[in-house]
Amino acid sequence: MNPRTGAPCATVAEQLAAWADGGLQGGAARQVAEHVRDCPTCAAEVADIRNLLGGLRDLATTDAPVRDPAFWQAMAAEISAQTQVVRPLRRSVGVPALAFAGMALAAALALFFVRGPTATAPRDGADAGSRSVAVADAGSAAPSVVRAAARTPAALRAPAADDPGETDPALLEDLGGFDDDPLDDIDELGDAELEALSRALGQGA
Amino acid sequence: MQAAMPQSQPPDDAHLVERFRAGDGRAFGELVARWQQPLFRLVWRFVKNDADAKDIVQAAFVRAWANAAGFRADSSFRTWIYRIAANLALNHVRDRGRWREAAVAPDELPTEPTGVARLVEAESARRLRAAVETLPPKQRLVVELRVNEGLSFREVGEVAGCSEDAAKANFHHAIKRLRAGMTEGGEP
Repeated sequence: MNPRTGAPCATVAEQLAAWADGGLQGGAARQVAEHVRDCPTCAAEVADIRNLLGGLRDLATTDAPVRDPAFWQAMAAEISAQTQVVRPLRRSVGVPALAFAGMALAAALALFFVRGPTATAPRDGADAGSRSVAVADAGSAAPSVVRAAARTPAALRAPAADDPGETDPALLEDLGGFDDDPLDDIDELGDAELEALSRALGQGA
Repeated sequence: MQAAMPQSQPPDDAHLVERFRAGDGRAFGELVARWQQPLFRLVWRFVKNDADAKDIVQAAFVRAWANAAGFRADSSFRTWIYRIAANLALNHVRDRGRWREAAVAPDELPTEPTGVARLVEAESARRLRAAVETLPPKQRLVVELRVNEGLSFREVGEVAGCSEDAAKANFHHAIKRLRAGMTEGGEP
């Protein structure tokens, strides 16, 4: 506990390492700094952490592989040779097109389920009435999805108990954004390219 | 009177990536020249041998080349290529089933015991090295990226595939574990 403020050390404990390494900014950094200034226990801990970090950096220096310039030149040349057999992918066209197709399909499915009953032949007056609404709607300027939603009974529009209610942002990101996972897109390479790549990698080893 | 010529500065990564995506292969060569050494050092610390480290770095650059169109402009090339290489290195170590056994053999370590102080130092380094090897993969990666590569916690999160706060939490737990490992081994 900080003897001056009475703040328990637990409030900063998880931030001490990041702060000791200069990795905190703003209010978080100030809070830890103020605590450490008045708390001998945490101050000693920070000194210990810094000692450890220094040891880690020393270790990285002493264990670092030192190679001559020819090594790096050879490696760069091999990378250059390997990239000559691989055609860079052009995802900027494919992914948005896929996303667009996915959204179009979703909209079509939504319309199908919502409008399905109105597409059948009316069997009584009520159905005939709903058909007349559909015919009237067909001429309006509102987007079909909006019109379809307006026709959907409230009970159907209410989300189910386990329905999150809105689209997961991560899913939208996946549909519309680009994924930088290194294992992505390897399937998009053609057989000839994959073969050439594995050949080149085999030569480089 | 001659106008002062502006000092030419090396193009930044974003500029090189743009040039490469526009079809300039030399720009990619400049990115390779800029990042192959730090990448090799990072990967080497995981795999502990030149041949594997070289293969992994080369594979990382080939993947970056092949997926250049998927590079997000809102992240840096540095974190992107580090992420590719780190994933490959971690997968490699995991697939070889030698996460805990990847420590450098004692006879490979630089030791020049010319006195008691040197021996104590060498023993301390040995213990720290061993403690690092026992860290879980993600904590190990966070420590390497932060301590030895000098990445900010935001960048560490980008490379390790987690939030900045999660990167800080991993760092905290890694340091705690390393300190415990050093204490358990007995202070020199």
